[in-house]
Amino acid sequence: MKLSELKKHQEARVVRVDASGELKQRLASFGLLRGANIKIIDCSLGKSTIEVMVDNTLLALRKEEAEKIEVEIIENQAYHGKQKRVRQRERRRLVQEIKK
Amino acid sequence: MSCESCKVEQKEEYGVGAIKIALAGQPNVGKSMLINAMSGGNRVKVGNFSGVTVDKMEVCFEHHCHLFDLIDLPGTYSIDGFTKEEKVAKEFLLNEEYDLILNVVDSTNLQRNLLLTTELLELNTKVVVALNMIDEAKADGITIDREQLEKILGVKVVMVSAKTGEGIDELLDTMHEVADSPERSHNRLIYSDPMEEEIIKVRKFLDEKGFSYRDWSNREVAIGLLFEQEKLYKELHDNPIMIELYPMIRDSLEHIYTHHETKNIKEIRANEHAAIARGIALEVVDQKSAPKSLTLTQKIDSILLNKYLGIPIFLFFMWALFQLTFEFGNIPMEYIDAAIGTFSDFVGSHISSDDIRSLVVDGIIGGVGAVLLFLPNIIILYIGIALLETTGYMSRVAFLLDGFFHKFGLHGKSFIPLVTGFGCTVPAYMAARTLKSEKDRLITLFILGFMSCGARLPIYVLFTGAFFSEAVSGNILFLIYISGALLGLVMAKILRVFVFKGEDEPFVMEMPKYRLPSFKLIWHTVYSNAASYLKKAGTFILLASVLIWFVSNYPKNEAIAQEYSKKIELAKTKEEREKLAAMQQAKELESSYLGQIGKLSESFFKPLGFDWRLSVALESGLAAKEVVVSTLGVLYSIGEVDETSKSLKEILAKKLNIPIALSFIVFVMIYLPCFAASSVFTKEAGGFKYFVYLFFFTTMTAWVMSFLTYRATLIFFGS
Repeated sequence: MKLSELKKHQEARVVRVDASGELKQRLASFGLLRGANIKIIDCSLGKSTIEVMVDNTLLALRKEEAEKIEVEIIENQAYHGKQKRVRQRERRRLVQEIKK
Repeated sequence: MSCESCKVEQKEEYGVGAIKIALAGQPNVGKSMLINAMSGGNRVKVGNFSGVTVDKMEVCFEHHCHLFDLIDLPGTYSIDGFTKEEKVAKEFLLNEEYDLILNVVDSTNLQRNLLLTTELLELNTKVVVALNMIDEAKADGITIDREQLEKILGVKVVMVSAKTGEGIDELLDTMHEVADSPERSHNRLIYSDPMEEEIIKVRKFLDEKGFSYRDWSNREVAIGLLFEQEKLYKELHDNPIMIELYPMIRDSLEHIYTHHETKNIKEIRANEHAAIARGIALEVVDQKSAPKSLTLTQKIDSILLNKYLGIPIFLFFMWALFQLTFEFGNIPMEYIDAAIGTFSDFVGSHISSDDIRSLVVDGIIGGVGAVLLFLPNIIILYIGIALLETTGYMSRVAFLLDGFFHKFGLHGKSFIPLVTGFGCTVPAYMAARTLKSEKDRLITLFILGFMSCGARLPIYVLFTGAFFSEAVSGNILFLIYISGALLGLVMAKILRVFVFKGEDEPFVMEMPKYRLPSFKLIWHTVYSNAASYLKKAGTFILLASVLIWFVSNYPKNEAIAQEYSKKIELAKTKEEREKLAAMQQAKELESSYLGQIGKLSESFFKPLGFDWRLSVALESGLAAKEVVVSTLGVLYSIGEVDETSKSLKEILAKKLNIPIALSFIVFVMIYLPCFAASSVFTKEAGGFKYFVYLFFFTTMTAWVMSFLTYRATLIFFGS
């Protein structure tokens, strides 16, 4: 579904950004790219501008831009501590590999 | 680039050259504030909006007998982007000489800030990371594992707070140490599996060939090649190794493309960096619950950005600002006015020569005094703008107004230069650089002059004070500013439809967290602005006043003097004599150089209701808007007879009427900004021809609008 269709405060994850190079790059520099967590905080009258939270960043977008962002709703958030342990294990493995 | 503020003797005394540091960071990370904390002085304007530092600037200071030379680059989210600032930053980082990059990072939003850090690390120069606002992070319940972060990034990380001064010494020592060390730590970032596979492949090949490039490790060269760093390719272009490398890289890139499902290398790089940043944040940041400041920001936003209340609240704030400017500003104004009057009488009674007394009392004190009077108003206005800037409310307004602005062919972000324009047009022209699209930028530049700057405020205060009761003056002032802004919007639309046609720029903007305004920052902004206003009054306006006095008193016309001295002798009553004396002065003024100049342009201004004095005042305003008031002060004090009404306000109220006053206000509101602003405009717009356009555009609009105002109000108020 599109970001513009998301309800207020619904947690979602970015699946795809269907924008041209420049806009895509601009969004990416704010951290809005595939895999980012996103939710809508506020809208102006007629949803012409939307305030979204991307990870820990508050961003303002126009409706036109929000329509280019494909998202999926997150049902169950994985437990943070578990993610962290997985990440650290992964990292140790990669460091070993590079040293080889 | 040399640093002027460093004294050469100092360098020789300590025998050490300055450590040159490039300061890079995302907007709103407190970079400028950190510079102030490090240098101990207040040399950079600090604000909570992207684009306060629009050009790179240099600050120099000393710590433990070492000179530090900081180059403050504009805040950018990335150095790969398209905006002017991003280009300025990238250009500098790639091509200039410096000892190290100080990457300033917002500790409360590490993950996003790391997107820039990863880009900087790939430049393969010395980097020190400053985790700024560490005090805020602590208050938010965020802990950062600094050692782990250092391990992952491979560079020194220092926790600092520009606000409390925590860690500043350590940061300076660390930078010194890193700059002096002969070794540079190599890029240790770990990319995604498929990417790593290719990096290792290329690196192994480079190792086998015994290849080396500058002080880069072969891993760094491999990363540079795979990410298609232009500069690297240019320099390796003639190296025979490239013949073997090309097919290998092409192969590797194919693999990477398939994995990332795109062939855009910039996008791939962004994805890699995002993954790294996410991973690092996961590993080193410990955060129990959502940060308090962020939840608070959201709560405030739900009120200030409310669908229905948002815009009324904003309008209320603006209205309150102008009310305060007028109401509070008027209190000290009366005292200043009285003090200047006493001072001028005192000085006048001690000078025996008529000519010199006239020069000092009418010329210097009259001109400079008229400008000084408005210092309180200016200070209040600047406090207001500084509050808007530092609290983070400014970007909320951009959000609120974007829908509305968009209809007029403007970008919500144009709001920032436009509001800055209420303070001074010069920084406003420069702030327009935050606009990415060239057309948006030009439209904004063209209409910026319609936002009345602080220097025009005295004119408005003078005229509204003279013709309207105190109760409505504040409202009139608010109306003047609002109608200037509305006119700007209409003009923007006209320009967009007829001159700058084209695609709209997308609206993507960060909403910085709300921050309590720091007293120090506000004081600094207001102080420096007030100081420069006073400095201008003491130098430029003083000279202009003397000049205006001179051209309004010379050449002396003996014929008039003789004619009237006879008449005065013959006059019977005292009243008649005074009347004649006033007529003499008026005649003399008319025959002066200034009178002649005024007469020349009088026909142009006549349909607007202006006599030659007002015309001359407007013309002198091309140099600086403050001069309009001082010119009026000089011109009207010379021809003044009635000793009971000393203040310029009362004289104007007597000599002019409401239609003329309104017409004058409208003309001042619209016509060409001062000389300094015009030259910045020419530079920012990109050529003298734009200045010519601006001149005709503003003069014509000003004339037409004044004419309409004058005629319409004439019907309403009668002459």
